[in-house]
Amino acid sequence: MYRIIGGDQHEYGPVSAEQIREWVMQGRVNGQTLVLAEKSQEWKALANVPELAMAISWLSDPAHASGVKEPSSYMFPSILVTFCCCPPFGIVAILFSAGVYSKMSHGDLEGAKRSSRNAKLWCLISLISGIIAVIGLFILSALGFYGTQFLSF
Amino acid sequence: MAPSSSHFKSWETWLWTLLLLATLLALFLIFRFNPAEHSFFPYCPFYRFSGFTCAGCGSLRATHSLLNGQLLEAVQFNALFVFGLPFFIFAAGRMMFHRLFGFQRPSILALRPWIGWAIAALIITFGLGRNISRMLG
Repeated sequence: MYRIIGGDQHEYGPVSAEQIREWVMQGRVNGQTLVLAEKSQEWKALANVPELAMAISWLSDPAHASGVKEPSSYMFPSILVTFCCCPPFGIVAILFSAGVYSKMSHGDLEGAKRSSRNAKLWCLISLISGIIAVIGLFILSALGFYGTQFLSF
Repeated sequence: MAPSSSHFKSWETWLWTLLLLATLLALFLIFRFNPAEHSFFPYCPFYRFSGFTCAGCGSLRATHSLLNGQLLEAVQFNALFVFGLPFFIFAAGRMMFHRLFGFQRPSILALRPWIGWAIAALIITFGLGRNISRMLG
């Protein structure tokens, strides 16, 4: 939780990091806004609080002028491959996708990029294994094995 | 946040047009032919090989029911799919709208990262739950 000093010089808080991210996006706070973290003793400019500074660069900077571009989370393709292609690998992709924004919000840009790459990788693994399995089943059925269920309970 | 020109490259426009047409064709086929009766729809390899119903199992039949106005029947085929679909369409539509008209807005998940974990938890719980209840009952 954080306390902040608003443009009207009044103290607000305690508020969550999520609330501050929302205010950053609405342009109500910026890099110069003074912030006091719960465990900290000193007021700091928002731009100097690592876990919140990240929010300024990618929430209030739509043109990515600062050079920080948010890595894609691949959440939509992850959900699609989970429902359509290969559920076990798709779930792995969804977990990496969730990790992308989780890490971004903690200021871990490198970690978020890693999660983004992994989410993409597992989407592809799920997609390709799903396609191979459907083709494989088609061939099996052409050979007369269509009714086989290997592990039924 | 003034909208600038569209952020699609020309090959992307073609890709999305193709995907849209393919989706419309697929929706027509699913609407017209019941997946439970016609076998030209691809069979789910995961179910065929493992015998487990995954979180997406029944989505095709549920889509057929939805397109034919049978909401209750659709929920019985796959409740998670039916309740999750409006949210998925809203989020995907919002993202497409922003990209199409050049708005650069952060994703809903950027503000609330817990939603990503909630989606994962929901799908895993539903997938495990339906198999456990099937084994017990």
